[in-house]
Amino acid sequence: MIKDFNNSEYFINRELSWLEFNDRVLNESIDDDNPLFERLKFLAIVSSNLDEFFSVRVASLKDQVNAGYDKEDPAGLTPKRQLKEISKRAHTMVNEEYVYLNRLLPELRENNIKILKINELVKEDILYLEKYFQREVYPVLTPMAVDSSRPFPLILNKSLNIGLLLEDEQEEGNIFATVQIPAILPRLVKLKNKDGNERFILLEDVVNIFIDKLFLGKNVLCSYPYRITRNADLTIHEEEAEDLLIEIEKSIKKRKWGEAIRLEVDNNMDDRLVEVLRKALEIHRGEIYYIDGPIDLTFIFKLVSKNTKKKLTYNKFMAHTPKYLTKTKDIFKEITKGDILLHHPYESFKPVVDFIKKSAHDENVLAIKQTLYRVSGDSPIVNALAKAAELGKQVTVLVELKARFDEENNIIWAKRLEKAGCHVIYGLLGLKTHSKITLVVRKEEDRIKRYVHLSTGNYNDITAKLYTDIGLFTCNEYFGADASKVFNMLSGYSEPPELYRFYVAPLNLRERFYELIENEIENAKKGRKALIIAKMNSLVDPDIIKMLYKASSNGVRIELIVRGICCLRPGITNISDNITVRSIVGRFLEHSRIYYFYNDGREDIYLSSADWMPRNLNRRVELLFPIEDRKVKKRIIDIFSITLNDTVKTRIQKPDGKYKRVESERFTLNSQEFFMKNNISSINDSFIKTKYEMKGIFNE
Amino acid sequence: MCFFVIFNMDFILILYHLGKREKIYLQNDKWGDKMINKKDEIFAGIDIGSHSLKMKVAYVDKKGEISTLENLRRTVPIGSDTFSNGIVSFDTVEELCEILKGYKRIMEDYKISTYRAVATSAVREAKNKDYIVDQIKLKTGLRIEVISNSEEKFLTYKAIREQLDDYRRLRKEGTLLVDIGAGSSELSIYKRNKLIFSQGIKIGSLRINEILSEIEKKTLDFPKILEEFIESNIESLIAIKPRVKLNNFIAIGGEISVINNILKHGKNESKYINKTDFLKLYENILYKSNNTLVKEYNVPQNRVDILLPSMILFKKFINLTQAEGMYVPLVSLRDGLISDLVDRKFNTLRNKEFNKDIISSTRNMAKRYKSDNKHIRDVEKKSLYIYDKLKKIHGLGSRERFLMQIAIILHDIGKYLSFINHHINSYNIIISSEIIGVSKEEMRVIANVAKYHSKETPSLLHNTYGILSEKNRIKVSKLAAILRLANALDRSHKQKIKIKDIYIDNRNLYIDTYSKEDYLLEQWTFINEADFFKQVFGLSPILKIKKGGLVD
Repeated sequence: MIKDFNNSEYFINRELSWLEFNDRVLNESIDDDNPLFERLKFLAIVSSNLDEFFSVRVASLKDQVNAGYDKEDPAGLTPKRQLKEISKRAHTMVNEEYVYLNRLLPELRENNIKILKINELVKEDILYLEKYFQREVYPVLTPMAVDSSRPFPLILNKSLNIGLLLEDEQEEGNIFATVQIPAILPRLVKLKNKDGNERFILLEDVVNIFIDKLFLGKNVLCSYPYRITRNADLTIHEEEAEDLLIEIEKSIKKRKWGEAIRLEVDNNMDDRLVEVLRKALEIHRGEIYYIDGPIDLTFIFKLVSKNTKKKLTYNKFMAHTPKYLTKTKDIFKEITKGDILLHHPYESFKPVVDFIKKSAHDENVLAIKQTLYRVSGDSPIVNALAKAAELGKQVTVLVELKARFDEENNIIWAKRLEKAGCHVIYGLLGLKTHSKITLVVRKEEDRIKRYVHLSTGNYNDITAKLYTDIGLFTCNEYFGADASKVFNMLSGYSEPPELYRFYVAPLNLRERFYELIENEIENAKKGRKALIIAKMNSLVDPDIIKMLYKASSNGVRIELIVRGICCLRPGITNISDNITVRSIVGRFLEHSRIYYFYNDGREDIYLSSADWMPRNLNRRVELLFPIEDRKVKKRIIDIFSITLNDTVKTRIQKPDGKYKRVESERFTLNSQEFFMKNNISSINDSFIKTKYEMKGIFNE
Repeated sequence: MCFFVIFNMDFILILYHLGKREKIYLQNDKWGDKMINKKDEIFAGIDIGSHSLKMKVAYVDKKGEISTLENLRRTVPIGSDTFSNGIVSFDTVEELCEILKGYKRIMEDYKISTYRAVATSAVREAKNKDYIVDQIKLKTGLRIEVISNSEEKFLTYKAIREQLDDYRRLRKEGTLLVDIGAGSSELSIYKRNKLIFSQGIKIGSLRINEILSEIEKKTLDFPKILEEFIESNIESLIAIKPRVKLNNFIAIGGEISVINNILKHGKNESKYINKTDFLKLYENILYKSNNTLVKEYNVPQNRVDILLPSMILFKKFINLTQAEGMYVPLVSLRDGLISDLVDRKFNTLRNKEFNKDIISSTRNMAKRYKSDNKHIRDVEKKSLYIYDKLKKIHGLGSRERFLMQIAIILHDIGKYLSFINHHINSYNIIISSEIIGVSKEEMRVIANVAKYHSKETPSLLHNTYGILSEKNRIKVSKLAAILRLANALDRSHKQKIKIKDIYIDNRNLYIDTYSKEDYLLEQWTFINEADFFKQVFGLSPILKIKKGGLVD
């Protein structure tokens, strides 16, 4: 029987699924197990997530609507319909977000941190703020009024503003005026401590107090904060661009002036004011969000990072470095002994940085090649690469400039690397290089040896402390040869080569997944055990999803651990009832991509930089590589069995696309905490089994 | 005490007393026996071919074992520029340089100092060849050698051994090796462990396609036209091919890897294709569109056009043999470049065998022109003896020795045409021939040495000599001077004189010989040749002939 898996009911819209993910993040803010600051931080994350979501995803949908594109997505929704559903869902979410915030702020006060409202200020504060306003704020404010001779000013994307109405003396009616809250000043203005309380007031409130001073001689009728989000989805027309670098520099400037797609206004804003903004920005009513509290919660990051009240944050946690790596002076020797797996952030990222550093100074190292996607500000990786070039090593760095929102940052250090003497290449036209790979070529006794580091995450020492990723060191010859070939391909020196072990998107990675899934289907048909376990950030690709449905309906058991978007709908009778979708949202951002195929007992495990998303499989250079070392394989299986048995941070996706926490039956297990506390490289099965009665996914 | 009759160039008889003066003993160095290189090294071979640019980087350990580090390939349509417009366009040269810059970087990655970058027919036949080579040098710093067809083949075949286990058996039994390039092809015949025939033809898969692309649109039976065209082009070749039994067939180049891939369903493990399988596939693809070939057989888009011409060529050639299938060692020019660099650095056994092949095919050529084999052998023996003894004096290496040997073998072939000015005839025949593994420039050296084996001596007034580089002019003079002395000693073609020893004393070169027969003609010729030798080496050759056998 051939089944049709194209039914739109079998798919969940990706934007709505993303919103569900953000909702899971939001839910962390009311999880009492999380310390207060962390809960507040989750609110800030929700807020900044929504910013990106609107300026990229919603913007793109709006573009589609404007262009008259009305094709349905796999879930059967037109762009217009999607916008409508998004608006509905986002409104509820934003409302909840502020309900939670207003629940947390009193708790913050109980902990002696107060964010004051204007009416709570005492005289002393007003005097202090007046001085502050005159000295620091006033000089950088640019009030702008709108009348017949002055058009509506351009409001900067994501800037916070105060909109106000002035009384017009000559004519009847009111004058609209706006003033931007300067982004260069701290959003939180610190007031003098009182009664052992730390006290703050928001900058927009300070401006509001003294708003009259900006419009002397005019009567300010009302004034409220607002903020707009614009279309920031820059599309670079590469064919026309001679130099990608210049093109991106240009488009960064351009980005500030996209179409408005969201308007956030203070809950109490005067309707007349809202109307002025709505008309001027040409925005729909559904795109206006009334905010019951401070607009843009990202200031919480600052508040939290400045404060060091230990009990309000997560327990400090030190990443573990395997002993053989701390003790050894020769990482090359250690890699030669066997593949090394590092599970970040539980295990330190330092060995990776050290590997580059060591390579820079090692006299036998000939060349270092690395792909860089997103790196941190003062990246030790970049420093080590620059150092290596200065020390005369041949250093080739593939810099991906098109990492969204990081371009400005990327260009700076790309230039720095070039200055140091590195050979910087910018990847293939039209394809983002998303693979994370490092190759060190070393001349040894009687051979040339290639050391390779591959990872599911970026070479970023900061995110390596927050994202769960898996990195692998190996000197497997096939991996080395493949790594060389991949770099030659990325440099444009060679056409896509035949590879021994790697699979590369967009060449054959997708096909490989098909083969692997098909193989499980074949085994299931023969009545053999068939199991797929896949962990990724997002599952969107309709063709892969259809393959999974086919697998499920043929009896393949499929365990998915998808942190973010999941367009697959589990639990549909005869379609996806063998599929379970889990999502773990917790202290660390789940980021590793691991793919497991039972393969009649062979247990093939692959790591990848790619999610099951069309963009990863079609438009990016991604790598998929097998795990061949037995010990490493075993560790990954252990990691899976802990992860799949998580009862604390795991949510199970229901057929309606909503997520529910698992009900703990026999034990509670927080997988992230488990990995923090237990050095998994030293534990064994019996430990796991005696401590927790594991559901034997692997041993049925 | 014996009496020697000694001549110097002034016809002055000198009495020589053995042992009175200090002699310089000349060491008889054996060439090519020692390992020159004992260190491991990384080599790079770059091949600027007709439709792609390729590079191989290989590590060679102390024993000379090769392991590949990098294998790169980028399509650049150099050949379609040359074969249809006569020149390589500016844009293509630019593109070429860009990729070569990348190759240079990879060479720097491995700190490679020994490399060979060669360009074949697409560049060789381009009218702007010099410009291309110069641009590459300027923009990338890479030295490009434009190699001849025969050099290309020679280099490529160097890599066969590493691929075919029973290569030795094939050489013995009789094998036709056909190598189809984009612009030209080569036929070689091995029998009894020797290369007995080798001939290049200016017909290759891409060239055929370029030439006939005009007609393709005008006929529905393009394959038929292809066959006819190919047949007419190889007719003359078949006529001169030696009539020996050939049991084996080796196929190289010409998308044979693509063909093998199709037949082996992507599993390119076996290096043998059955003739019946091959013919079946041929019938199958004959009238299929390019699109179908790409889809059905997974033929790479850039190879699909030249697949059919290649298959027709292979079909034609395998039919010249009794072979039931073809060996398909997947060798490439860049593999050969690496093997060659290894041979040079390590001076391997294989190198000697390849030189032997060249010598044996040269001897076959001499035989074809009915040269006096006994004379050749004698002059060869004497020249090489003198050459080896004078190693310190002439300062030349094993390659030059090899070139001299070829020149000697061929020096009289001009007689086939006419005895009048036969030295010029020899020159003309050599210069228009190809010898596998010998470059065009080296052929010029050989032809000149052969030309100056008697009568005329090198002069800048001669066109043939004047066009050589200064370095090669000196080579020609040195080699010709030695050849002339040796040739003089067999002036009568009767092998009357045997050399016993050679030594230098007081700027004289004494050649100690003995003879049973009348040697007046040799003696007289020798004296005539001595002058030129002195001009070249600053040594006066003095012939000492002991009458009779080797009796002290």
